[in-house]
Amino acid sequence: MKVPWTTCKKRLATLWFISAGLIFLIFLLQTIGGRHGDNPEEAWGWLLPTLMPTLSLMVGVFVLDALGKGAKIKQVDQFLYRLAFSLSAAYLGVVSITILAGPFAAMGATALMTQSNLWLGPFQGLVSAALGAFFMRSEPA
Amino acid sequence: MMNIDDAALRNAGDSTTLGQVNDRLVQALDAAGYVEKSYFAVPDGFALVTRLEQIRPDGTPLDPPDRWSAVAGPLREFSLRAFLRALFTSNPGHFRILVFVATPHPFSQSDQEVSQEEATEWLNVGFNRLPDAMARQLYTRAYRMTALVYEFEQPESDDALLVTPGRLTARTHLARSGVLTAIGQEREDRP
Repeated sequence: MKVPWTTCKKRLATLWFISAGLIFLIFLLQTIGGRHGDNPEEAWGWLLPTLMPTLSLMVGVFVLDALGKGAKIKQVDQFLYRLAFSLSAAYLGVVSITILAGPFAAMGATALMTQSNLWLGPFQGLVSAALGAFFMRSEPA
Repeated sequence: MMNIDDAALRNAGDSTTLGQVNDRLVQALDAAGYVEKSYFAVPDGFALVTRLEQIRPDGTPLDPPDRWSAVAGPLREFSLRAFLRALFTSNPGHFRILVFVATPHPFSQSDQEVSQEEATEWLNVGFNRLPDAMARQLYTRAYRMTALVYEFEQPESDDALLVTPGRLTARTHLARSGVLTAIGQEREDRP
């Protein structure tokens, strides 16, 4: 079953930009409040690679569309779209939990972020693969 | 640093011994939860050191077992306010060690820095009780009981640092720890 690529693209972008925006806001307030102590670079060094690659990909696609160099009319497989959306939602949820669980972590929030690379790294790979397939394997109507 | 009103530790008259003062001080500390102590010799007297304890920012001890943990633990209070405060602000661990010095000689604090590890080690290297010879010495009018409070702050994932001067006064520490109350109660309970 095929679904409109433009609609799906916007839904994915909405999910990512709203979620990333909220996460950025929390991190910014934490930095201002001194939550990251004297080394906020370490915390931001964990956050930015977690979100920026995908956000950059999406911005790039929308810029191409705005310049008229993007695809004109396309459809995408509904399963592929749902896979990309579900993995994205789950990934952003895990990132959010990692941040919100900081106060409850026995190892400390900063150590929790460092250790989260164990599960976020492979997860991010899956998300990147699904989003890449979504944006690259669309076809004309 | 604070001189304690030792009237609660003395007998009527001039017949008090160091041993009796120590016994009353120990009973008061036990009542306040400080069951682990060690002793050091000072000129013509002794210094009694308590175990490192973890406290809240206002000086009240945490509930056990966190009170005796040398590492700041995670959030245990489940309220929205506490969660938001822990999420957006720094949450250093607060620790202290109490030292009670009984000596007739005036002394001052040195500017030498003490690490939390060194202060924690005091409990292990000191004597387990007051030597009998010292316990028989008279606690004359020249003696004073002075309380020293070593306050430490441990930022998350960093080493603990001695806080000089402390955030709270020695009197506040002793009051919030329950020691002053226990010393006063000890005097009331004495026949």
